[in-house]
Amino acid sequence: MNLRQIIFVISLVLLAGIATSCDDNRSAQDAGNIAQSLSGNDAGGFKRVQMPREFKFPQDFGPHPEYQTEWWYYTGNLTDPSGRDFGYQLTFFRRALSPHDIKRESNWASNQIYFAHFALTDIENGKFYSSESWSRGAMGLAGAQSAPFRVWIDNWSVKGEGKNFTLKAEDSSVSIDLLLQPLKPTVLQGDKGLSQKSGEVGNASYYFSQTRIDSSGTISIDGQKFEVGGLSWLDREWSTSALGEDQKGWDWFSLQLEDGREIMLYQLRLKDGGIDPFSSGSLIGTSGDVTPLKAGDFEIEVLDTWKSPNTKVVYPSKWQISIPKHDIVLTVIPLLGNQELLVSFTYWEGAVKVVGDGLSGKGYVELTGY
Amino acid sequence: MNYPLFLVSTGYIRKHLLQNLLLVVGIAFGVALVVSVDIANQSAIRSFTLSKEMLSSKSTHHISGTYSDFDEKIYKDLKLNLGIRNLAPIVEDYVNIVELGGRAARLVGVDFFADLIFYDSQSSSITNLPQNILSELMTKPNTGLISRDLADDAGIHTGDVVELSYGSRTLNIEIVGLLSSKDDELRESLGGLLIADISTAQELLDKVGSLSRIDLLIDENTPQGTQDLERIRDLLPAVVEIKKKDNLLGSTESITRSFELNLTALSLLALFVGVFLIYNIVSFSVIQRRSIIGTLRSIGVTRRQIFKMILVEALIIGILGSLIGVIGGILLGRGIVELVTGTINDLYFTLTVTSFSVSVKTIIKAMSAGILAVLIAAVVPAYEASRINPINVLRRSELEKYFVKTVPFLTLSGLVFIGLGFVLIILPTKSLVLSLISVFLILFGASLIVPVCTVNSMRFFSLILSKTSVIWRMAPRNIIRSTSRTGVAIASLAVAISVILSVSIMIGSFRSTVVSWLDTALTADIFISMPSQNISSQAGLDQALKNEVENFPGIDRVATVRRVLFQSPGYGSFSLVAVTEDLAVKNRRFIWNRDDNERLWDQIQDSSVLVSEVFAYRNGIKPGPGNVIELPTDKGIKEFEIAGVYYDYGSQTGVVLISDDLFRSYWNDGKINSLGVYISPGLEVDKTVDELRGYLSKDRSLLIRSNTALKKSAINTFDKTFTVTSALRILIAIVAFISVLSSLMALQLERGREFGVFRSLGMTVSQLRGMVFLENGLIGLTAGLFSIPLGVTLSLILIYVINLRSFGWTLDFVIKPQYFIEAVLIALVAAITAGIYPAYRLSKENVGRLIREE
Repeated sequence: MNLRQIIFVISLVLLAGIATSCDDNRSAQDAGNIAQSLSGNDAGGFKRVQMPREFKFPQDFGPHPEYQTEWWYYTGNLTDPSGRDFGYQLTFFRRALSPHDIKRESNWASNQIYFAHFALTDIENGKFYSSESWSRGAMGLAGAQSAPFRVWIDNWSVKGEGKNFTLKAEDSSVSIDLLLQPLKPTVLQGDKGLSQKSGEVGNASYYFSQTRIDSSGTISIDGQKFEVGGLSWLDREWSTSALGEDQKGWDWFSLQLEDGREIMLYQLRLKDGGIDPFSSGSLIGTSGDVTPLKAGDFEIEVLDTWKSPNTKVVYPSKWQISIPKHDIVLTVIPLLGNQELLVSFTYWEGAVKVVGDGLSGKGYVELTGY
Repeated sequence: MNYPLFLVSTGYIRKHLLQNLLLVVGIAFGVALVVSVDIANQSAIRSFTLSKEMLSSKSTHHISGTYSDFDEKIYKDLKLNLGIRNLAPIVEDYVNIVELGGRAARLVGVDFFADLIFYDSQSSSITNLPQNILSELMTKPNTGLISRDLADDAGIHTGDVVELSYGSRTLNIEIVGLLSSKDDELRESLGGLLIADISTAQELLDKVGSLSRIDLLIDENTPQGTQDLERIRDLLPAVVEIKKKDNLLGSTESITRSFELNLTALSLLALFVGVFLIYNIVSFSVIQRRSIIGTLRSIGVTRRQIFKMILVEALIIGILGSLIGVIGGILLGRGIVELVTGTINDLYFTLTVTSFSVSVKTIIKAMSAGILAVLIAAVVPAYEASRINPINVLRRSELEKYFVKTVPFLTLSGLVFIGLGFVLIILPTKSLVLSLISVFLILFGASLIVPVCTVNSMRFFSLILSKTSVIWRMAPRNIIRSTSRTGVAIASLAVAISVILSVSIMIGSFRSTVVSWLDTALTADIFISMPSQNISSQAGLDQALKNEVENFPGIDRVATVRRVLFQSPGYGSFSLVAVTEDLAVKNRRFIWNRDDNERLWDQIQDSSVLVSEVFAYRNGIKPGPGNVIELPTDKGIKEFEIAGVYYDYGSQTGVVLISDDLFRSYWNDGKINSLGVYISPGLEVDKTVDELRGYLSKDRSLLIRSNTALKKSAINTFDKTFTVTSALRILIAIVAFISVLSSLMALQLERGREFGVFRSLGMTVSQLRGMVFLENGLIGLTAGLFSIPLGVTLSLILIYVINLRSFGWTLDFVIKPQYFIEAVLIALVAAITAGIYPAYRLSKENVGRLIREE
């Protein structure tokens, strides 16, 4: 997901900018250029995604430090016994500063940076909570490992237990503690898990998903606890990949339909207002069979917008999605307008519901570059 | 003031330009001193604050070790086990930048990610740290950032390797980026910093595995915050504390406060002497204009108008003098700031930023002080002027008669002031301000009894001179006749000289105390230490060095000294000094000790400590049996018995002396600060020093000095410390000199008609000159003699009250005859110099004109 890479890169730049006042004859306005150089120029020495590979599970849940960037992206819709709806997002990112970790005396030395975003949507009260964590991958403060699988920053973590996972995160006012049990086989996105992002060789990522995960546990909001259950979605991706200079932003949809199918779509928006032909998606059948979707296979029409009171940014907030080949026409509606993450890099990522002719469901939408 | 009166004023000032010029200069000097000392004090405080800049402006609390760094695992525990957020780990210490002549800087290792929360990107107007720089800082060892200002100063560019000295080691750090900030204060404080990744700082400073500090952001006012603090306190070992950020500056700052207060008092003293000068000259201007004022009064000018005229004159001169003083003070301030910050660096803590700041407040304060001094000094003469009776005006004796009447009253009030001053001193308090006030009371009181002393001493002189020629006999009587003016001149001279004398005695006593203390404290033949020991640095030498030195041929035995800066809630900051043997042994001087010196050392091996006088004084410990101190150790809070209180002049924060074994058994510390080496009998110290230098200084730099060299350098530091005081002493002398010069000169110049009469009676010019010099000499001598008891009294107060209250130590009172000779000489030279111009004038004057003048 290139968009997430943009988030990552820009977050990193902003973080670095805030972390210390550094004057390198560059101004803050150049942040965008630095973002470009960050993902482009520093890739030397890292492995690149050039051909399909054989995925091994559960090893591939763990980190791939020979690639520059990696993430574990969990989102989900939860409901308590009284029918009260919640949405959550817990995402871990890894970024390598250099391809090789040299042996150092200090336990703090590391070439790996981790950061995470945690968001919770309280739909009934119309409240959205978001926070972030940053850490170097050292001192046991943050890291990722494959056996047993674990990715964590401080006390935010995802741990593997057999085929299942436990998710834990807490902020000053909200927390989640969930058990995740995948209901379908792992989906390899793109071409057997190789997701090409532009025409250039190597501008691609390894990408797999778990599109239907049974989720149960507790969440708490301002001290109030809720027993919840629902469905989650995992996206796993790693790469050493550059962004196209003409790309402006990204609209990403992960939809879980009540008929047992899932739809993943991403649409890369170009600076000239067009849609990048490398936009794509997939339709996952009830048994886990995957049908790849090309840019021409689907159409996304914006029906409404929402203006953020915080950033004054106008985001689309209602869509009609049509996939004519599969006879699908859906309307996607945010469960709450304000699901804008106010973290180092601001973007919109939130719980949505899906309505359509004989179709319904829930999902998550991510919007950046607005 | 109306126009005719204005003309009278300007006419007078023009006619007596020199006299008024001296007045301006005198005020200017006094004000300049006040300004410069205030600038120095303010700049010192600012330098301190900037040097202590925490970088994490938003943090509310700090976790730090009471005596050293602490285990980095504590950070992990806080984060992972307690789930405390908003933490930032820091590893830091003081280093010296070789390229900048050893200028001190703080090498601060930060976690760029953890620190995020402490920055307000809006307020710190931060530009950005490009990712490649962040990447280099984190992944490339020995890399860091410095401020653009510092880089410009030192001609350092990105990519350069900067050499730092730290303890006995040399560190090389590659500068990969330059820091700057649009915020002036932040930018200035960045000038004293080298910023590196926390991993780099750990490796460079040899602190792998430990942290110097953790900054926290906790809202104490929320239940969660209170609970978090409680949980953190429970987790921390005894030797690690969590403190509120506000308290952090307090402890060290208060130590320098006495130092600064003493300087302020000295500068006010200069102004005090200045008041006499002003009083002198203003009252003189009244006397000189008796006839004009009388005439003005007889043509209908009111008393009020006369009063106003004199005051306004003084005020204008006061403002002029103060303005010049402010400018002079700012210029002078630069020098004094350097001296003051130098002293702070030597004695209190390492300043990495030396700030020179002049605040509007300082200028307003000094201007008001100058103008107020003028007004106070001018009120009495102005009142006297307004009382001048048009009928009596020509009767010159009138004024003296009036003055003679007031002498008993002056004497009595003088005694009352002196008494009051002594009462203030006796009061059972530790207040430094009170003792300084009492000094002023005593000085003021003493100046009030000067007239009566003058009269009596002149009677004594006239007795002595009774066998000499008539001219010589006239001199003392002339002085008695004009006590109203000579009295003030003598008083101001005596006050100034006594201040100079008392400061001389104090510094001299201090110096000789320190010298004899050094002799007892430094018994080893050779001392080995680190070349760049910033006072606040934690750098240390490896304990193994002891063995290395012991194995060197010709070495009899080696003692080690470990000094750690202790910060404990109960006793503030002090030094904990651990020694393998008492280097002072027999010679150590105790205020109180449990047993005789040699047995005492054997006794304190297990659970007792010795404390310095300063430590005891600051903590209210009365020397005597049964005292204990509780110290946080790595094995929890431990109680130690105080087996003795000894004299020590090496630390103004106090020392707890402990045996090395006891120290190592309670505190986990593997470093030493210095070695005391005893060489085998018959060997030459200097030769062994050279040999040791060759043997030990291979891959490290050590400072190896002989006993003599170390003592010399200690005395140098001492002398440097008192440079400011000495400088102020000289400036006070200058103010006093101007004061005496102007008043005595005016006194002699005024006697035109008298001299005319003498001349017409047949006295020669040289006879008159002789009389002028004799009179001035007598005045100088009287002032000099009077200053001796006053100066000695003041020095006693300085040594036994002010020094004790400021620093907590007692000095031996040492008096040398040279101080007195010096005092009397200054007085004589000032007085006699004042006679030169009037004496010169005498030969130019025409007798006829002189007599006709009246």
